[in-house]
Amino acid sequence: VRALLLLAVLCSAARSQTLSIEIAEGDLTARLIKVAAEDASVLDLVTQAAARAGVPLRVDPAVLEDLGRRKISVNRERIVLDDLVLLAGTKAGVDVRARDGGLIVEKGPESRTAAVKAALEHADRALLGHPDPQLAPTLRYHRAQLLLETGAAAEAAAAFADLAREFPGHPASAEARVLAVHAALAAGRTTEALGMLAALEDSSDGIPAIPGADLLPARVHLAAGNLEQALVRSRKVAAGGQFERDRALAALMTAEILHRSGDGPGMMSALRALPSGFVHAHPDLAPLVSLATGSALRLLKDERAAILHLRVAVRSLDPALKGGACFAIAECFAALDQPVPAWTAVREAEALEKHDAALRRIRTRRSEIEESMGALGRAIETCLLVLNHAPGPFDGADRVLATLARCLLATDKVEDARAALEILADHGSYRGWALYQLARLDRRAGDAERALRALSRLRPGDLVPPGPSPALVRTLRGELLLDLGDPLQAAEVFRGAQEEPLK
Amino acid sequence: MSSDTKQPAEAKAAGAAPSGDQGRGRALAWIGGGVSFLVVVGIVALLRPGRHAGPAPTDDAAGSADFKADPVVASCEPACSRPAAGSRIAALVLADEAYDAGELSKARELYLDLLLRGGDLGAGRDVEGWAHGRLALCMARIARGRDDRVIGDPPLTFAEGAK
Repeated sequence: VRALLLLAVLCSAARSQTLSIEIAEGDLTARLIKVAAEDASVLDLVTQAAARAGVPLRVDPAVLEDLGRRKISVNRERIVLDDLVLLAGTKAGVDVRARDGGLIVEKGPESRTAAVKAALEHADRALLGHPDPQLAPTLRYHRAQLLLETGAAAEAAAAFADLAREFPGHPASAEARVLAVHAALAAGRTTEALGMLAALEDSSDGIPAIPGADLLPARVHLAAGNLEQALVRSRKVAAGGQFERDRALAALMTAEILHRSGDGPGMMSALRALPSGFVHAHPDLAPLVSLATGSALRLLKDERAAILHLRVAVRSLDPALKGGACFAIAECFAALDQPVPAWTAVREAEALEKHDAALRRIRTRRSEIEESMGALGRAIETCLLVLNHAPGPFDGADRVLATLARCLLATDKVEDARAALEILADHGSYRGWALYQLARLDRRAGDAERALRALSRLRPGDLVPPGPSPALVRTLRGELLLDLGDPLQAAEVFRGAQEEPLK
Repeated sequence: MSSDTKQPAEAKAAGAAPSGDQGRGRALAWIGGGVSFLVVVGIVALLRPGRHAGPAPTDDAAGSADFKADPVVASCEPACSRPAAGSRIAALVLADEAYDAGELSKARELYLDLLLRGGDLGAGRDVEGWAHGRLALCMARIARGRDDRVIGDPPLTFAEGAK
């Protein structure tokens, strides 16, 4: 009888094994949930865990029913709550996370980005909980990669750099050093990237044979504004890079750097160095070659040929670059003094462009083209559109105001023009032009004294384009003095003006 | 004296001690009870779901070279006196084989099962660390997919504003 009783008690203990869940943040370790070998509902498990741990639970209604049906077997003595929810969620194909002080159950990762985030969480947990020393370097390498893919470039750079420092002999370490440079560059930390690059180049190992790694020195120097160094590095890779695609990309990078320097012939020569069959090997680079050729021809003032290449590029370019290519076409037509096709192209560019700053630049140019077409009302509307949509001060604002002021003056909207000119007269490259125009407006209004006061605000630096020439200013000043009845002083001013050629 | 000396023994025999058959019977009962107890304990140990895994992995069980090379687990093995076993280690080996063969989804499921159902493998958290690490690697490799170019192409725009 005793033996049977003992058997019953022990069997009962064995079947109702409890799962002890630890809360990472606190000291609370409670024997919480009875989860035996038989299956339990994921919903029950998570609900009980949340209830006993005292954390709020939020379940997406879309997964509620499915979660209630899904069974899970947890056959352990103890587990950390975060581990439990992560493992249970992965097993059930849902996203269960301890977040904002509670448990949140949502749909499982469907997009690549969501899958990367989930993987990153697993890597974090694996490294945080009980890292295996043998797996740790590889795991840390993948974690840094995942960080880079989620956009946490600065964090990825630090993770790669730490990995390379702590495991100098590990195979992942060589890659980690160059990827640290890449991540720092992606994070916009150019100075940091330059330092890492210098250390990498000084080391005995040098740059490892990873696709794209050869281009990093040129990219880092280009980002740092060292055009000469960038050019030297990109030419070196174009001539003898380890990977064929990198050699082609280096030739294109060389063209890009020369484009920034305004060197059209240099660009053409870099593009001619591209291997003949590379377009078949890398068809995705063909539109970039067309874009580069069109840009080079523009610099060479061969706008008609440039338009042909740019139109080819627009058909197959990455959508992010199409707006820029259309804008280049518009500039070509504008240079050919064909405002109507220029306006059509600039409107197309406007429709394709997504970035606010680039869109403002395109619209600013559109207003100028409209002005050149004589569509002054439309130009005024475009200028106002740019100004109204700007979140604050922006580069090129004075150019927009100048176009607006010119159009307002041309349409005889004097008071509105004066308001725009007053703003321009405060600062910026159009200050001299604005003060000169204000003086002319005042003279037209019969207020010569006020006009003279406007001219007296001019500084020597204002008398360069787009400002008026010194001769024009002297002439106006002389006329104003005559208006005020001071012919002697006016004669003195005119004598000075005659000594300089009128522009 | 002799009667005096016999008195206590007789008294014991007459009043307290059982006969020879009764004594043997009681002894047999205790032995039987003990054996039953040991059998019950053994059965319970076998039925218990979270029982400790068996002996250290042998050559046939440890299929993964990585796992065998793991210094932490190797150093733990002599200290781990695991009674029955094999199945969890075999599961780990299966998972490692799937991982090494590039069957990442299968490996992920096997590591998940291991962590949910057989986390305590006797070797303790070291093996769990291995399984958790490999699970994370599976997740990372599945999420990232095959990406030969780790470093992306340089941004080439030939844009006006870049001048």
